[in-house]
Amino acid sequence: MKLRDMRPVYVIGIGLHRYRPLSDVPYVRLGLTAVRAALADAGIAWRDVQGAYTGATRLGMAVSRPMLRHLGATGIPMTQVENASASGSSAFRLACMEVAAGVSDVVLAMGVDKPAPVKRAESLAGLPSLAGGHIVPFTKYALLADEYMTRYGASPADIAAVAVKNHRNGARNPFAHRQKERTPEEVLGDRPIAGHLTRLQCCPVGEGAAAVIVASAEAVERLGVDRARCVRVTASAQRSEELYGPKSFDAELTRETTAAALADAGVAPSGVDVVELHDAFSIEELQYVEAMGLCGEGEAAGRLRAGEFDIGGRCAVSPSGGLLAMGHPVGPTGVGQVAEVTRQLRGEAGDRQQPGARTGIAHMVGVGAVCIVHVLEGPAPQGEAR
Amino acid sequence: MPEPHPAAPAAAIADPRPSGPPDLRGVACTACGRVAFPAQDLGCERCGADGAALRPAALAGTGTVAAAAVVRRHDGPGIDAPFTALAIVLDDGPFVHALLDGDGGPAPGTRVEAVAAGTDGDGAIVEVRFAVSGDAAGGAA
Ligand SMILES: [Zn+2]
Repeated sequence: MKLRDMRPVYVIGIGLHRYRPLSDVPYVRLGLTAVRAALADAGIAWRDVQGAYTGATRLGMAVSRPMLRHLGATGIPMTQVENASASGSSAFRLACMEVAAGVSDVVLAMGVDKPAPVKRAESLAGLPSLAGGHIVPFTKYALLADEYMTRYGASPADIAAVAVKNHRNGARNPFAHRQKERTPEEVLGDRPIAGHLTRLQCCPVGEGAAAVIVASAEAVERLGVDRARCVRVTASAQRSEELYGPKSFDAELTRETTAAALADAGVAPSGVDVVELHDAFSIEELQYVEAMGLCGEGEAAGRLRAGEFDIGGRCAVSPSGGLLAMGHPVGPTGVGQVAEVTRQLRGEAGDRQQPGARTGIAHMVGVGAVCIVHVLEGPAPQGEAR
Repeated sequence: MPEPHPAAPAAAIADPRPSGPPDLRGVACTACGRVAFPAQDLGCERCGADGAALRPAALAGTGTVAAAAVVRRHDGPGIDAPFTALAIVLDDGPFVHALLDGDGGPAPGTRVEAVAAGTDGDGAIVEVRFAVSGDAAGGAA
């Protein structure tokens, strides 16, 4: 069943703790900062929240209650969610499902994380590989960049331009890990990591927290939440990797998951005003805007150069700064995307506001491999019927 | 304290041939025809068949570079950078990531072949790299 055919679900509150390099501040404090901000943003109390999902990947077992008990022990269900980079997106999806199904009226989806060593389960599958531990995410994306450049004649500068745009956006985001504009020369001349990817084309993985509160229409009414600031979640799609041969599985997964989400929401790619996507590495944005149908195959570099994906362009891509500049603390990342899209659709994004934004999508991929896409729709402008 | 998940001993992944590059140890599914690397008996990724339906398959250690990247840094223990990572379409079908035996970044379309880079005590090949092959100019299959 489509989310849109179930009970309507609204984002009513958002809150963040800035993404930043690892500090000695306990995760509990990071998480509480985000949750308290989300409650204040919604104008509701903790006792109004009926369930909580927490995305986290490197904090160990049972992260929720040691943190959330400090809001008052109300006995609500609390569930930890791990889905690699998409952990926060999964937490949000589960919260939306719970409200849509009528199980709860008000649910918290949050993410909190801190850098720490992590073991990937795939390495425990007992199967050998040809390159083993040599192939880490940036290696894989450096290979995809080489393949993309060969296929479409793109240049290193075309790929670096993604990072230039997203660092520019991140410089306007007080919650971003990286808040500094970078010139193309700085991006291209930065420390080489793999292939054509330099350090500034790879996302920073630090600490942080993000929180989003979703609610039913009944709860919005009952709690007196400002309807003009409620953003409806019109689709939630999640898929896992199939067999794609030599094609980029991230791009193929993105293609089918985004298509499913947009179809469920009844939105064409041309109707999307704001996109937050998984730009952990600069090359990904070029591949994903094409896979999402925001432009044709091989056209992304030219459209980016023409400013179509800038704030103020045809469709703002990663106005938060994306993973490249806002950062990728992993557990919070997918929730933070929803917070940014919500801010944009409310018209509250300040000097990084995409003018007239009505429809937005949040997209994450995670190793494993999974992809999650949500479509959000902003409140109708004054005087217009929903 | 014991490691909760002790590392498995390196598994044999290729077998030498009298001449030419070693064969890679792959798997063929007799139920659906899928050919894949590495060898495994857990179940076919396309159709789910397991057990006797999965047969060992010797894959020719030849293929074509789809992409290459010179890796300048790596945080993993025991891994020294730089090295060159390759994406290769094997002539027998599977798409694999592997390491270049040599320096630089061969252009997509370059022909490569497997070379034994490490053997266990019994002479089985447990580490394979790929080198640019003699027929570099020729027939990207
Ligand atoms: Zn099969």
